[in-house]
Amino acid sequence: MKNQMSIKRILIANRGEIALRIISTCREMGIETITLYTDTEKDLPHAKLGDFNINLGSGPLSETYLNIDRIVEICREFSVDAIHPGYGFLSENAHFAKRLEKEKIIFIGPSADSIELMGDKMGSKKRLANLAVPLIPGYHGDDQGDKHLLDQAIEIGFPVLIKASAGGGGKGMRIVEKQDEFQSALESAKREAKNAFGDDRVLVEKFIQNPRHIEVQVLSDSHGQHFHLFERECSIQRRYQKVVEESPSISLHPETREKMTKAAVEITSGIGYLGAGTIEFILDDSDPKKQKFYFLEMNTRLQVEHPVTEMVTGVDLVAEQIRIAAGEKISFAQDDLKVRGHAIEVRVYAENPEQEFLPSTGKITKVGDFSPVIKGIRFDCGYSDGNEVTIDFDPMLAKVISYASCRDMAARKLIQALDQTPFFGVTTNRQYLKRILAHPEFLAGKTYTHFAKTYEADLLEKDISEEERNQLFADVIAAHYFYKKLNTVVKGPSKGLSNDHLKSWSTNNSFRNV
Amino acid sequence: MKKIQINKQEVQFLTSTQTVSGKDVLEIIIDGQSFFYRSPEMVGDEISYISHKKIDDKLTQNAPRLRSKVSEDEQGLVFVTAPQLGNMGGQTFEMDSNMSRSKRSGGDADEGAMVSPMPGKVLKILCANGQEVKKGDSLLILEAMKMEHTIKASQDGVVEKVFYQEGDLVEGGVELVHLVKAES
Repeated sequence: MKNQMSIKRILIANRGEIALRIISTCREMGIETITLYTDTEKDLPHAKLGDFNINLGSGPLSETYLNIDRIVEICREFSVDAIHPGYGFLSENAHFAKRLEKEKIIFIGPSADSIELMGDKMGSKKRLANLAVPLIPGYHGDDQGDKHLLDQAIEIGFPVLIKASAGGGGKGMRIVEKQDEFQSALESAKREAKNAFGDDRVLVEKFIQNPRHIEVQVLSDSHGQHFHLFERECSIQRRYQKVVEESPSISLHPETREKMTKAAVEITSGIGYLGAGTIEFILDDSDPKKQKFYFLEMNTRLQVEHPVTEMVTGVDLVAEQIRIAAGEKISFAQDDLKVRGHAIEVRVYAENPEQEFLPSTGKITKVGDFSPVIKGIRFDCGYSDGNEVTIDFDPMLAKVISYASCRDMAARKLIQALDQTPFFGVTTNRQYLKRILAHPEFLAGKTYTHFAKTYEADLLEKDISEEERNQLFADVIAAHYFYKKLNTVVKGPSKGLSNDHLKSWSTNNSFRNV
Repeated sequence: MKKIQINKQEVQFLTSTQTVSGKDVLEIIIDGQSFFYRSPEMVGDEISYISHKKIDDKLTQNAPRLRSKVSEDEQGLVFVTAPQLGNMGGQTFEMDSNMSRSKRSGGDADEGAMVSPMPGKVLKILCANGQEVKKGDSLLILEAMKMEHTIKASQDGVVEKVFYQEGDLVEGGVELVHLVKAES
């Protein structure tokens, strides 16, 4: 390294697994971290693992993680050089980025202008129309009258998609198959958009029947270099929430990949982007010989699913973000980047797939551990044993990422890893995730965005016979019985203690060597 | 006979230990069916053991070594993952030997009671007192964790009472709408 890095202390304006993930890279780079937490999060790992850990008290998000004044105050008090916003929260808040600029604190992210541009879906599409980037037929205008929107929908042709203009994460999105369903869907979408974003403007778009969600990771520095780090496929979604993400995409033809990554770099260089970002495309795969893709949106932050890109390219995206924010030049060339092997990520949520995916809460008695270690498994988790899962925050508990030489093996390995992390005490979607990974259509690469809906029934618990049920119950009763015996022996006061109750079960030679 | 609840289902079973062909064996009997286990090992948080069938007084191993994880909370609630075999493999089971506690949270509730699954806000009421509804009809929209959840009728019937108004904040587990079963 030539000069000393200008960033020596970073405040992480986030929580959970992403805060830990950022701490990890900061430690590797010798950078100090400041973490934030709220009263209910005192016991969570992120509340403890920073070099300074600041309690934000309690109250609504606007008084804690979204409290810009308070965060700026902490930065002054602790002489913070830069803020990493993670994803969600303030990560795509242009006002926040502007404020930090004024306060002379580095925002580890793009300029406020880029955030503003891409945060407004209508505005961004208008701007991109000038670049050679394909857009989905749709209406992105300001006339939000019900009648006008319906007329636009008819012109585009059903089915159409209604989307919140300020949206993200599937909130305020509705598919409308027929004209007479339009009005109620519109009302519902607007209501959800208003609640989630305080803005009920929507856009209407052509709905593609067999789409895949493919996104390109981009990275741009302040020296005018614009890179792409290939694609991720995130077609497996439920209610527009990504569930399984992978890289590379199994479906993308080399020529389409070439075109898509080129379009992505065209966007970042076209708007003078800075930092890490993701450009999402919809791939229309209905004619496999002629794949078409359309620009969906650009996320001006680090994505939840960034680890799959890190695993196949070997690039630490957070480290690159920090170096770029410090004004350094990206040290590799585009041609240095290669995709090796295959990575798959799943998101473990505290939710119950057997009850319409209602978020669940509770105390995690045990997260689980990997023994023996499974090579190529990355476990980005924001919780540890004894932590409480509340409804105050996002129900995502962890991301499990698997890396292998091929897709099949990555999927198999991931199933094994999920078995190692039961998150005892809280109902999770683990079994649901495992069923996706083992599904023949998933393994065959038939991953369209409606996968979760199409195979809904396959992904739920199967009914079992009385005999199977009894076998299962006997198995778990036996597991607990043996656990009690062996655990008592290990934890008992004296190993050699004779205890009639335990006798036939406790001694090593009576059980281990038979 | 021992009685426990596994995932809120009542299970009665017997355990006994015996020696078969010089090996210590655990026998578990459920519904008159016998299951045999032996050779437990514990590494890290993983417990493993061998499942057997007994034919003519001889034990035969009927599956690869089973692997489970087990944990207990302070109240004595036990969590066990099913061994990694079959389509339920890896699934977490909740075992409770405190029958009175499990009963309270158990599923014997009134079928006509449409209960809020979690704390949230009543966004929209889609039914009215006295209205006839079919199973699966949407009755009410609840907003929780910034997502909308639709409460649907669990049976055909008549809406006897809607307990809240739009905009009300509700706790988890409270009755939102009460249905009276349709008379056929």
